[in-house]
Amino acid sequence: MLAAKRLGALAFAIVLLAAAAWWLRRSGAGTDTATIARDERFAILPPGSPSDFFVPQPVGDPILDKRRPQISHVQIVDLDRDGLPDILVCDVIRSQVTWIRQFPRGTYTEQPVGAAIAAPAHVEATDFDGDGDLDLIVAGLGVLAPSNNRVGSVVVLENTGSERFTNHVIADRIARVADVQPGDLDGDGDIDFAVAGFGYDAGDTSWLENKGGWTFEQHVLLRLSGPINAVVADINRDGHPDILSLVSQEWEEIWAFLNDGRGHFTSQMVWGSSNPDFGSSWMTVLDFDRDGDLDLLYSNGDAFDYAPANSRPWHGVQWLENKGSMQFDFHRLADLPGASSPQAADVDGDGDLDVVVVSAYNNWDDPAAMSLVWLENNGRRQFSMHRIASSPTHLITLAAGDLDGDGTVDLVTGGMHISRPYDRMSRVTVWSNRRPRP
Amino acid sequence: MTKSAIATRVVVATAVVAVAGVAIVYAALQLRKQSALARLPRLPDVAAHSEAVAAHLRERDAAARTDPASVQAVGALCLAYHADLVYDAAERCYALMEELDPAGWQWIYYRALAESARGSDETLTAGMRKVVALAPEFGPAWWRLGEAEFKQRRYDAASEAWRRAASSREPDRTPMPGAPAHLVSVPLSSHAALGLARVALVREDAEGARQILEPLAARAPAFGPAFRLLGESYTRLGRPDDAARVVLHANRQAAYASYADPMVDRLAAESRNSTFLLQQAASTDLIDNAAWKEYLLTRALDFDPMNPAVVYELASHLRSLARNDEALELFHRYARLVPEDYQGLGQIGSCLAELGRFAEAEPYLRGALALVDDAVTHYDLGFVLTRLGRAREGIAEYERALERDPTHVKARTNLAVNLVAMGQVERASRELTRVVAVDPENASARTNLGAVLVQQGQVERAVREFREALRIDPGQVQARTALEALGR
Repeated sequence: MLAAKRLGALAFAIVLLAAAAWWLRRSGAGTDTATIARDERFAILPPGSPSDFFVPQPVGDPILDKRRPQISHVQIVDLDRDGLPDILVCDVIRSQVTWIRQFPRGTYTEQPVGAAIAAPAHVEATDFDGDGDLDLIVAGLGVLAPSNNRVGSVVVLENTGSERFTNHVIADRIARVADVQPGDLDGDGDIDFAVAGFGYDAGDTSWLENKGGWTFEQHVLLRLSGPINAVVADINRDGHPDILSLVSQEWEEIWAFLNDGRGHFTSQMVWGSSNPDFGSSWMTVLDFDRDGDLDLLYSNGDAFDYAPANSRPWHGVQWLENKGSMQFDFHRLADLPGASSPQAADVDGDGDLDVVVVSAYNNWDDPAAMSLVWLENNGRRQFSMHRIASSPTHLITLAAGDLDGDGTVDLVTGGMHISRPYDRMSRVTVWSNRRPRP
Repeated sequence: MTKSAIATRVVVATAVVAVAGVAIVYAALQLRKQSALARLPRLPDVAAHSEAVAAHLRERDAAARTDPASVQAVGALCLAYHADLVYDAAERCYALMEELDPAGWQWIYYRALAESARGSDETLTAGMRKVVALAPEFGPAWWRLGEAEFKQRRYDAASEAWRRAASSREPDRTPMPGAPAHLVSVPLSSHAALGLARVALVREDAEGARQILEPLAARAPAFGPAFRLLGESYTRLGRPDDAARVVLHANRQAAYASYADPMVDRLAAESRNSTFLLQQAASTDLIDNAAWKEYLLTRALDFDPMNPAVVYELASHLRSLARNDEALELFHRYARLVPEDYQGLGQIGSCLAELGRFAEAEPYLRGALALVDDAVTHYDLGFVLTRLGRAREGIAEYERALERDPTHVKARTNLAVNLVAMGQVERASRELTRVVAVDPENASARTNLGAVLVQQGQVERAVREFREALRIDPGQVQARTALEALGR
């Protein structure tokens, strides 16, 4: 009897042990990758309700017949320093930088700035010649379509007074230029430029050393194709302006060029994706977590590579948290097809930084596909997405600022209509923030 | 108690224990099934997907729910989610597969790919480390591990992984039923060598990179990225001429295409998602894999027949294969789907021109121009008008093309050729000089320029152009003949 009981107990124990082992094995499977993936998507909250407090208003020239808008960049700046923020525009189809002047408040009038520039991609305002007014620095692609031809240029539009501008081509016959940003990179007191030479298969990141008298010498920092942004910022907090380059194409990497203050750079990769089709589209450098160092707000949403130029479910927005010593942690903020031009701003006036993003490539046959969203920060850097608009479509560029002087963040967007459908087009749109302050 | 009573009790007890054991095992299996069922990802809202994708997911989901502990059924569901780009469900599904099939490294591989698509290389690294531990003979996992380590700046680990990839055999790529072979244009070892060269360059070892890249370039002459990195190495080594030479070679190669991973091919065979299929088609080279590309595009069309982009891409592919009749039919279909898009009409016109039906082509091209005033269409119209014997109108169209795109090389070249025919040699010479300034590696433009220069009496300049044309393309018969005629 005793033996039988022991036998039964033993069998039962074996079964229990086997079951326990099975359960343990089950619960342990794949924990490490799951944990990593969960951590990296920790900042994504469920979507919130659509927001209707941004009121759209087309500004500037109307869309001309048979000329589908190709606005590559918009920027908010008070160009004439009259106290009213204006809008600078890069218009590819017109090969022209334009100035949408706000005067009087709420009235916008567009006019060309300087002479034609082939496929302008980025405009930046700075007092280049130190005469007290704002000059414009323009990146010229040369042609919008992908090309290895060295048709890129960097042009300074010198403000010769009263907002009349003269073109100075300071670099040409270089890889198609997607971005140029100013800074005294060699510490000699004048302004040099960081250049994103996108090219196509051949491209580079470089800087232009100001030799005086409108002459510049190009120094190539990295020969990888596809730089979209070249941002001047002191990323390692050593007091010297560094260069950060977002390199797309098949590389999908962000590089830092750390400056010793005399124009000698040490290159270092900051981050990269192994997905060669990640679609890096824009990088904004700012102190996103307000801890005193600079982080990177970064979108991947480029689909101007193969058909269909529409929804790619891996597109989205992320930020790279600067942990010091050039270490950065990746945090995904949102999945959004075609994400481009993310800007951080306190949209709801609650004191923390939200994110506003446009979409250039989406499934536009779906009327609900979003072209403009904001990501609401819950105060712990977790974000829920709110739709602002689904029309107009194909928004590729975005600027944020208080245009109407009411203390809230307004938006400006630009439309890049290089793929169908063409039924909800826009050139430049102001989105006035009518949300009541909390 | 008697012995027989004891024996009876032992038998009874044993039977009870056996029955209990069977019951427990059965209960455990049921529990496991219920647990597996509960852990299957919930079928997402399929309304946002195409009909084909929705039906595919529903079918695979139903099969998996019928047998939720089946490796085959659940594995097929996971692949369907992944191949149809439903990442969240795919990731959860693969996690379940790792339990159902612990020895099945492919689930870890796929899960890592799915998770890394949205930017996470930490997960790719963790996943691929597991895969190479389970299947060290599978070279693509070593290559991907190298990629992931490199992107995280762990260069020693990247080098180690890429060395393993470089010495691995190409994986089996037996064609899937009904599919053509997907040939390897650039083998795994070449991709791995490229990675090793990148590590060398990051470490400022240009000579080390050169030593890797020169043999790589020799054995993979169509692998453009290798030539670009070799150019970078030469530049750093102070050899600008060599750098220029190899970069020019790179410029003539097809754009970068990722390694032809058979695991991804399996996803392509599973996919009903036209975005995924078109992505795979776009990264397929035309020289070795035209059939594979056509297979992908045809599948995309089967599953998404009303998607204009799919129709357009297949039509374009057929055009590149000179199957203009088939392309024409698809472009007509595209134009019906998207009547407001000038490209449909423009392609019909261009196709008809390729077929020698110039008179039919003209109204389509003019229709396209009525929608969008586009340089390419003006060029096509110029070509058609020239072939119709209306050279002056053709020249005007080439000029319009160049007003809209001054870098349009073909328009400027054809303009020059027509100008020569009309006796305007000086202007033709200027136009061709502009062509070679924009496109210095254009051998036929240099040949044409040489011929025009001869007419202008500039023999020495002409000889230089002919020689340059032959350097770029030794097959330029006219340049060689002209040099012989000039006694050079």
